[in-house]
Amino acid sequence: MLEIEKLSIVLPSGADRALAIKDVSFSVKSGSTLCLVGESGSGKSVIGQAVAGLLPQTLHCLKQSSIRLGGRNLLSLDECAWRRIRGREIGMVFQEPMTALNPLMPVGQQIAEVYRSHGLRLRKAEVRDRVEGLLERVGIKDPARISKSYTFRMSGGQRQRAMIAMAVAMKPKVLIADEPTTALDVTTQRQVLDLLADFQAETRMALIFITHDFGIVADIADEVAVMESGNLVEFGSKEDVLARAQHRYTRKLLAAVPRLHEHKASVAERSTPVLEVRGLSKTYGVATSIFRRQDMRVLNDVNFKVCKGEVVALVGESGSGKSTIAKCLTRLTSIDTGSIRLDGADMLSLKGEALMKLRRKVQIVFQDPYGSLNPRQKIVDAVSAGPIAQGVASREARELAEHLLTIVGLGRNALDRYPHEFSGGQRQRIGIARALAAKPEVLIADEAVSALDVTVQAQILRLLADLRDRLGLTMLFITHDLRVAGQVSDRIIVLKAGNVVEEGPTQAIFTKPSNQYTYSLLQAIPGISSNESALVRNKCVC
Amino acid sequence: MRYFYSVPRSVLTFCGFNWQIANGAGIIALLALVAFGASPISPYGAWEIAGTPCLPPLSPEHLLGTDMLGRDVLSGVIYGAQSSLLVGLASAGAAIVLGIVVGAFAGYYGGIVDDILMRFTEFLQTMPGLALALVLVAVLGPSIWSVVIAITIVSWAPVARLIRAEFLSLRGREFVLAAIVLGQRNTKIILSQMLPNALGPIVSTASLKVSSAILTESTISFLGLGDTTRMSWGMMIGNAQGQLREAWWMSVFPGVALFVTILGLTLLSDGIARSGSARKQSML
Repeated sequence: MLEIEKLSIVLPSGADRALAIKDVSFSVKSGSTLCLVGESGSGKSVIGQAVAGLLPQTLHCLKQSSIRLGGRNLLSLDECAWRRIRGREIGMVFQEPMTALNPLMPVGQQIAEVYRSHGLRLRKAEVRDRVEGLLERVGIKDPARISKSYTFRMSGGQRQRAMIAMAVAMKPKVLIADEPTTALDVTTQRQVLDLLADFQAETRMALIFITHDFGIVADIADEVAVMESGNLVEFGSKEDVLARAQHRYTRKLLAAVPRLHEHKASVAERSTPVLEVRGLSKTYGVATSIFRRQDMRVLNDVNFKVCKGEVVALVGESGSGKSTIAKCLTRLTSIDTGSIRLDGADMLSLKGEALMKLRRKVQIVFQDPYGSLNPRQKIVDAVSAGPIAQGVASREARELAEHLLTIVGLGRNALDRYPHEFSGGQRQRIGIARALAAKPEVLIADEAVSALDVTVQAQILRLLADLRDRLGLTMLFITHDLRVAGQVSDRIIVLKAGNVVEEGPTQAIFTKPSNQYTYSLLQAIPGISSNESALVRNKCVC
Repeated sequence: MRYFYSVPRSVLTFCGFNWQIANGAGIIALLALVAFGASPISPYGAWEIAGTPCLPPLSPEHLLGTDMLGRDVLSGVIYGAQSSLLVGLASAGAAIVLGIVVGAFAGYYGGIVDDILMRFTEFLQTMPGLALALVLVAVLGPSIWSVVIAITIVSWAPVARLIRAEFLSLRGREFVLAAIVLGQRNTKIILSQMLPNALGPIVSTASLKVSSAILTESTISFLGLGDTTRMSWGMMIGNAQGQLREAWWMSVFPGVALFVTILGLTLLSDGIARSGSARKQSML
């Protein structure tokens, strides 16, 4: 139904390549799902924008390109004609519902706008009924209240549901979903995927689903298109692509997908606890209105131990308190009650100079590879900052920095460069080198691979596993992704709303979880839930 | 200090082809040249009675004419550049340093330190700047340094607030958190991690600060409260205001000099701000 032919999109001069999209042709039948897969920068989102007529003004299509919907070439339309098509025939769901929805307008009104702008003359009560019906249809429990709510009062899942409600309000023939679940928790992601599939079955719409996650592909796709730097390198049915990938790049992507049950236990002995957390509680005061403050308990009596040479994963959805634990352990935030012992010494009683000394023993690698390095500081200064703060001479610190950068896989020529010259994965390596330079007892990786592409993610995970074996590193690995946790950790601690709900060896958690919540997390992992899944069945792709 | 190496370099790199910066910097460079080379350039001394009083412009030997005492207007304008530049740079520099120190402490430490410093800053900001400066000069006595001190006192507060705001947002950035966890000292974190990243907006306000300092100085001199031993544009305009109808050149030429200087500084500030935001956009 939607046919894209010889689509080429020109980038402005000075970009890293001439064409954002090069000669891409494919089609989507009504009622079927096409997954557009690729790493960041592969051009998959640009295709989505082109189909919805939302290309930024700096990009334009080459003459021979055509996008046909029901016989019409969309690329020849003027803005006026586009306005009639968007929303009515082509719907779009974006990655970040918080920024895609208007923060100053109740969502119900935003959905009602769709009807109004497509010329439906309805009475007020009729509009209200329709909006609320639609919200109920997308699985919002209290549609009357939510339709009057502003986006900041809603959860991420509710926002994305509202966004979907807007996109499908006019029952479009084509729905473009650009990474709609990337910002969501794994259980919410599952619900949103089910919702989309449900809608599709009802309205027979064609779904173009842009994603980087092969788990999702395995779950929902009928056909898969793989993009690599603007080229369509592979196109075929899900079964063909996942099981019999032809192109080298597709095979590389598939090999990088983290797999459950593919775990190599660490070699170190595990007897002496390095880090002991007992009865850790933390409460934030949250303003619920101008006059009222409510205490929000983010950690509730958390206990755990980390032994020497062990990798422990803290797994939980957003709001489970896992990042607060990292902040408590690094003393970046205060603690209400509880104790943290590092090598037997109480971390909480220390102040001033003694705190400085102990502090370096717990180091942290952050999530955002762009925010975690000072843009105005050379790499050598960033990496040697820790040793210099400990009183190492600057020449020695430089040598150490060079050594560590080699260990994390960057050459010595990285030393005198600035962060903007490096890619996300390289920056994350620099962040790891900086943390290691302080010779930590415990390394905390706070969602350290979540912002990375799947192939880069696999490289960083390999690096961490390698460091664990070579340096006997003790690691606390904080993640929302059970697949990643399964790959690196010896033990997993599952957190829910500030409570430890389950703790145990990684294998045991995956094979027989004792807690209902852990079970639901496992079920929600894309590509895992159905045993028929091609991805699980064909474990070895290469 | 080696922490600052990266800042001027990046500013220079991105300023390469900006016409505003080119013109603004050209004007300021010319001004500096005139101020430093005043004695060789200027045809007469600043106070020297060089010819017949009230000669109009384009008279032989007096390009811009003479004033009512027979002093050469061109020489006055040239020597006036000295005090304008001195007061402008010294007081803007002092105000920026003071503002950075106060703002950095308030933004980094927060809590009670922030409260005390910011209440004091706000207290200063509630007073009308020019009136306070005039009172201060009157109290401190008519010398160029009391003018500098007065202008510094009335102009550091906005810098402090700007730096504080930058520091508040930088305080939560991951690279600052990482530096804290690494055990870097507070002063080192402020100087090496945060300040270089907060200087962008300061660089563009700096030249506006200089221009407002120059304007304030001429106002003070115009009112006759400034240093009477130094030639100044404001003083020339003030002295000549009675003759504006009969001898317009005595006040118009120092006025033009003032106008061109302010224009140059404003261009510079705009250009820097624009190249800064252009860089931000290209980074996104």
